[in-house]
Amino acid sequence: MGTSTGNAVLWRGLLGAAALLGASEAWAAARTGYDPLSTDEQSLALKMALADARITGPQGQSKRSEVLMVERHQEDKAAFVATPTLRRADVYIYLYDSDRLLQAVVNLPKNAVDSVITAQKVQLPPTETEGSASLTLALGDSKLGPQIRDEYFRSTGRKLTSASDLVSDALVFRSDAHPGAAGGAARDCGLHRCTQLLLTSRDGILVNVLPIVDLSRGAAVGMTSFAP
Amino acid sequence: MAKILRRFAFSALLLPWMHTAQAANPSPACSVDYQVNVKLANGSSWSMCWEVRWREGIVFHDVTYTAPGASPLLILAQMNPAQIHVPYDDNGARYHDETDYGLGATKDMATLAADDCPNGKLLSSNGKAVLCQQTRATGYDVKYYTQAIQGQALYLFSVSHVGEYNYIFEYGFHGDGSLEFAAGASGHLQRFTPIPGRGEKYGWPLGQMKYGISHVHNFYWRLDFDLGGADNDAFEELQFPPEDSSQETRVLQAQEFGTETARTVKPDDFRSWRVKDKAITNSDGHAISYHLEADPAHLFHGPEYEPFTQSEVYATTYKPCENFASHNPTINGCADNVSAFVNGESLSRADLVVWYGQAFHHLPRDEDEPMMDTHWSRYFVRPQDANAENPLGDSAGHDQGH
Ligand SMILES: [Cu+2]
Repeated sequence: MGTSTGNAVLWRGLLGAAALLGASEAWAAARTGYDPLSTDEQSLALKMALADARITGPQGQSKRSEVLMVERHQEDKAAFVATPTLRRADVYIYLYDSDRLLQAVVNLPKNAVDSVITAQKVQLPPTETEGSASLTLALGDSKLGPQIRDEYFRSTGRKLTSASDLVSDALVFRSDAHPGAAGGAARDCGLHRCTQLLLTSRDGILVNVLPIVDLSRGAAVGMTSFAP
Repeated sequence: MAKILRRFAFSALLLPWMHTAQAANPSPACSVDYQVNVKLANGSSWSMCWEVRWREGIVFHDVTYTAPGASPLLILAQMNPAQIHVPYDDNGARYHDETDYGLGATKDMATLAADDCPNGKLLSSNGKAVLCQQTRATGYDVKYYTQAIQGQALYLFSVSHVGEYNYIFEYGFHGDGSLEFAAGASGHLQRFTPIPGRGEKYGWPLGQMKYGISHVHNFYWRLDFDLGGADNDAFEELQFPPEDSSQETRVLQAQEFGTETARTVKPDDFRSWRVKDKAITNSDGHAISYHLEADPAHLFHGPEYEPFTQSEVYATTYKPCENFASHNPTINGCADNVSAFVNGESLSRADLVVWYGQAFHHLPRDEDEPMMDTHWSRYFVRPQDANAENPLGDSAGHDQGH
């Protein structure tokens, strides 16, 4: 979760990870048709979206936002038949303050943003940044924090000394997908952007609790575990 | 893409009976790095494009089969997993892994090493090896006294991890034109309870003072059939109920659906489905088709807020925004799940999409620790009259009886 100005920096971090895996090879090859976006195309699409007034406007009004995903736009088959050279990217940005998802469709060959759509109650998978922000919020919570530490101790026999003792995978949590786990403040999840965390120790021991964090609210909102 | 569709539309018009016409290779709608073109030992070949997508993982496009000596037949415009829904028996968690976690993002998709892909070839996307391509022997394709044809198939698989689970999505492309879909789950169990009262009710004892909680993996697949091109496809149900109360005879009932539909399995009537083309026939004059046999061992019908679990098979008209069986983004007026994609639109000669949900109830066992061996959910989609005879019947020279 960066500020709006921090997005580009965060995104470079994500792309950096891809670059480590040898993305440079891909930069050379021209992409076409169904090919996934090259890292070059992803960077260009993001740059164009973040320069478009339809993005920068609403983004400027939200203190907190996050680039969620950049991938090849799923074209209508008919459109692809008519224009085989179509090469477009979806750039998705979430605005936490207004709980809105922005989708920019970037036309790469035309160097233009074809459309910007705003949606609510559409939650795409959490980014790694959101995952670690969620863990920080869960551990900092006066109720969940001690419960996670207790469970870590029960599972591993060791004291949890820092968040980095844990490996955390974050899924989106929607209250309508699991009403039984969505008591109290977690009921807003879905409209709000929430995560549910899967936790293990660094050495692969399961920590058997499922914290739920509301990133829009900036607070942990619930936890399910083995107990009813 | 344009070329491949036009070429098939063309052949649909002019060559319905000429299945052995000289065929130009369909021009692929992807660059070389994202093409798979494999000729199997028996002379048949498969071609397709592949793509990594953030939520879906690996997506295949323009899946095309060429029987020995025949012209290429486009089968599917696209195929991919459309959800992994994992509800636990104790209602402690109900995951929608594909849309809520993702199978294809950098953090989710395993980087494969040579050891992951024995005797195979690793395919990379943006420099990361994510797909293993192998050809494997599959045993007899045909056995008749002294004659035998050994089968071979192209396999492509990738691995995505979600929490403690590692999911393997594997596709088999068989020499006879059959398609095999398999979702495997391995890794570690995700949820336990130490409470005997709950463990005995909702799980299975593991080791000492611990119970693994039983759960279902509902694997949904989106199959965008474009048999011989997007036009003129029809969705048909086949079943064989007893003719009368004597139960001695069974009669074929075939029903073609005029509008979008949601269907459940009915194993005691051998219910199955096929997508057939209403314009293209094989040289016997029979409509070409591909046939889906569902696996009815486990069925999951969940609470009312999971309407997509109420049926196993759905046929819908193609819409570019209908991508996931559940938690589909409700952008541009698109519905949230596959049960709502079924809203009365005409399937008559439409570009249709078939959705299949296969359930596996995972009962934990001691052997699931320390790591569980892969449990597979597998089904086949097979040609039904796509060829006028067994396309491998003359292959490989092992059959001496002709
Ligand atoms: Cu399982």
